[in-house]
Amino acid sequence: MSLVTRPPDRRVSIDASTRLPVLVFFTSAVFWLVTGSFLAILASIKMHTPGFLASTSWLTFGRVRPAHLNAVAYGWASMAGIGVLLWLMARLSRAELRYPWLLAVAGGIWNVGILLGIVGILSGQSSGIEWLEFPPYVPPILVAAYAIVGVWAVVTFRDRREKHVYVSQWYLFGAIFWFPWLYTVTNLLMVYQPITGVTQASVNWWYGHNALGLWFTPIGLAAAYYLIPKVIGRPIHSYYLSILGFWALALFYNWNGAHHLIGGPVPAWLVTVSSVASGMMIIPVGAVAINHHMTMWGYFHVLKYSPTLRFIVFGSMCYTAVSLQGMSQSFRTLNQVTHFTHYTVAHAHLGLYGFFSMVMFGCIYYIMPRLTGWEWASSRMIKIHFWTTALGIGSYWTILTWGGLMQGIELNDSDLPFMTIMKRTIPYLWSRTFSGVLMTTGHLVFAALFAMNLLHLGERRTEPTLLGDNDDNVATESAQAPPVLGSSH
Amino acid sequence: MTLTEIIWMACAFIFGGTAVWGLSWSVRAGQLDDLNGAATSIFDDDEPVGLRTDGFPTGQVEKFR
Amino acid sequence: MSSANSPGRSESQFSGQVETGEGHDVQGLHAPIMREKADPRDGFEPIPPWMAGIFGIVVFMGGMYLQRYSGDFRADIYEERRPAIGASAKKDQKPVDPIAVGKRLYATQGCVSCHQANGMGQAGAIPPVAKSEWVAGSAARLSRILLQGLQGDVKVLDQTYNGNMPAFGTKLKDEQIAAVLTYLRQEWGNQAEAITTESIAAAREATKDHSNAWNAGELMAITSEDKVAAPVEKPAQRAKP
Repeated sequence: MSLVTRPPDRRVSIDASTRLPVLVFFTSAVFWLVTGSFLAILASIKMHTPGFLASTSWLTFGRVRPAHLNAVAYGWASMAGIGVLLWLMARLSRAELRYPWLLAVAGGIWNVGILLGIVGILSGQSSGIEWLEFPPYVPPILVAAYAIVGVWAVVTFRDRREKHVYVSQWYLFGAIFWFPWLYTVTNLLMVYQPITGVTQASVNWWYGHNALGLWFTPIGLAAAYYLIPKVIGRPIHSYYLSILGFWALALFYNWNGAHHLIGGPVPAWLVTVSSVASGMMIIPVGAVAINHHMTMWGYFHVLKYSPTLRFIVFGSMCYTAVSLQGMSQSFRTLNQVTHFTHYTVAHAHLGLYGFFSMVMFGCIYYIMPRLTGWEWASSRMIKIHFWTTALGIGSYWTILTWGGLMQGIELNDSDLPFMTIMKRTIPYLWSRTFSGVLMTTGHLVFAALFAMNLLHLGERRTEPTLLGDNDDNVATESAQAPPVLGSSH
Repeated sequence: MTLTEIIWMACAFIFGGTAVWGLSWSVRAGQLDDLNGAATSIFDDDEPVGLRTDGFPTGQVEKFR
Repeated sequence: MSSANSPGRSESQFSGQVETGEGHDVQGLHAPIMREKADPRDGFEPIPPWMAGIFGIVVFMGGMYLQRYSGDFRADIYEERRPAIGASAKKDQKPVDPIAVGKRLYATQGCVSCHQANGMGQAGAIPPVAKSEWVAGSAARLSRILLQGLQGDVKVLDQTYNGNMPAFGTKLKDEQIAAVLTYLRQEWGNQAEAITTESIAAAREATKDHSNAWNAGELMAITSEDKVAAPVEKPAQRAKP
C-alpha cells in the first residue's frame, strides 16, 4: 500500500552517530576546496600571462594544473562526496554508524594521501597520466582509506532497519562499488603494470570519464534524490522513472570514455560504440531531469528560501545541461571542432563544478546544522556564496564555450597560423581568471561560514537560516509544521 | 589469449554479473513491487510528507547535545 | 501524468498550506494521514509518451549509427567512414594537389634552407630557383638534378654558382619529386608546365646506371626529353571499378 506509517525515527541519534566522520570529511573537503581554488587561479593566470611565478619550478603550469585537478577531484569533491555518502547511507538505512571513529581515521588517511600527492605533484613527481597524476606511492594510501569507507557503508547497510532500498541507496551502492574497481584497475594498468600502446589511452579515458560518471555523479544524484523530496516534503514524482534511470546509467555510462579518443588511432568500433552509448545517456539523464523537474513543480518558490534546495536544484539543472552537452560532444561532427579547445574545459567544469560541487554545497548546508546543532551564521553570506559561485560557473562556462568554439573553428582552418589563434584566445582566458576569482571568493565566504558553524561562532539562532531572511529579522518564514502528527494520531 | 587477458575478462564478468544479480535481487526481494510506497520511504511520522525540512528544528538538536 | 491529476500527487493530499506558511489548517495538517486512505494504485507514474518516443528514437538511431560506423568491429579498421568491402576504394578520394605537396616538401626536405623561402638562393654558392632557366627549361635535366644531384660550376641567369646539390632519388618517391618540381615551376612567378610522376619514373629508368652527381656540362648535353612509356594505362585501370 501507498504509505506505511513509520514510527518516530531514531533520526537524531543516527545523525549523531555520523557526526565525527562526516565532520572530518567535510572539514577536509572545504580545506582542499580552498587550496584547489588557489591552485586553479594560479594555473588560469599562467594561461594568459605565462611568465607569472614561472621562475619557481614548483609553481610551473605543468605542476600547478594537475595539482589543482587532484586537489579538487580527490580532495574536495571526493571527500565531500564520501561525507554525504556516509550520512545518507546511515539515514536511509535508518541505522547508526558503528565505530564512527574508524571512519574518521579513514578520513585522516585519505588526507595524508592527498597531501603527499599534491606535494608530490608540485615537486615534480607527477605520473603524467591525466586524472591519476599522484605519484605511485599515493594510490595505495587512498585505496586503504577507501576500503574502510566502502566496507563501513556496506556494514551500515546490513544493519538497516528500513526494509526498502531507496533509489538514493542504489546510486550510493553504484558509487561504492564502481569507484574502487575503476581506481584499482586503472592504477594497475597504468602505473604499476603499464600496458602499452593505444590501449593505454583507452584505459586512461575509461577511468577519466567514469570517475565523473560512476563516482561523482551517483553520489550527486543520490543526494538530489533524497534532499529535493525531503526539503520540500513531497515524494519524488515517479519512483519507477528513477529506478529506470539508475539502471540505464549503470548500463550505458561505462562505455562513454572512448569518445575522448575521436580522431585518435583507435579502432573505429571503439569510438562508435562510445558515441552510441553517450547518445543513450539521454535515457538516464532524461529520467532524472523529468523526475526532479516534476517533483519541484509547484514548489519553485521554495528556492527563494532554502539554501539547500537552491544549490541542489541549480546542480540538477547543470546535470541535465552538462549531460546533453556531453552527448553532443561525443558525436564526431562537433568533436572535430571542439576537441583540444577550451570548450572541453568549460564542459568539464560544468560537470564537476556546476553539477557536483553545487549539489555538495547544498548537502553541506542541510547536513551541517544537524551535526553541529548550530544554525548557519548568516543568510547574507549564504546568498553571497550562491551568487558568486553560480555567476562564476555561469560566466566561466559561457565564455570558454564560446571561446573554445571559435578556437576550434580557427584551428580547423589551415591558413591561420597557430600563434594567431592562440593570441585570439587571450581575452577569453582573462575572463576565465575573472570567473575563477569570483568562485574563489564564494569559496572563502563558504569556508568562513563553515568554520563559524563548526566552532559555534556568531549569534545563536533558534530557527533555521533561510535565504528569505534579513540577518536582523531571523526566520520570518520558518514554514515548519510542528511535528505533532505522529504523536497526536 | 594470455593469462592476463583471462584474468581481466573474468573480473569484468564478475563485475557485470554483480549488477545482474543486484537487479534480480531487487525484483525477488519485492523492491519494485510497491513503487509508491518506495517513494515515500524517506518520510516518517517525525518528518512526514508535507513537512518542509530545510533548516533544522533546533529543539531536536538539543536532545542529543 | 501531470502532478495534479494523479491521486498520489494531488494538492489536497499534501503540500499546499503547510508550505506556503499561510497557516496550518486541518486539511494541511492531516494531509499525510488522509493520504493513507487514498485508493490503491499501481504505484508509478508511467513514462510520459513523448519521452518514451524520444527514447525509442535514440535507441533506433544508436543502432543505425552502430551498424554504419563500427567498421565491422574489426581491430584493424580505424576509419569509421571506410567504404564497404568490395566498393571502389578510390572513389571518394580527392585528387592530390601537387603544388600543396611540393610546397610542404620544399619546406621540410631541406630545400628551403639553401634555396631560401623566396627561391633566390645564395650568391656564389646556391643558384636561385625563382625565374631560373634551369627550372623552367628541360624537364629531363631538372629531373636528373633532383634524382642524382649536381656538382661543380653552374651558370644560372648569367651568374656562376658552385654549390653541392645533394641527390634526392633515393629519398623521395617519384610522385614526391614530381610534386616538388611542379611547385618550383609554378611558384615565384615561374610559369612552366607541371612535371608528371610518369616522366620522373622514366627519368629514373633512363639514369638507373648513373649513380654519381651530374655536372652542368653533362646535363647540357641532354637534348631530348625522356620517353614516357604508356602513361595512361594506370588511370584507365582505375576508372573501372
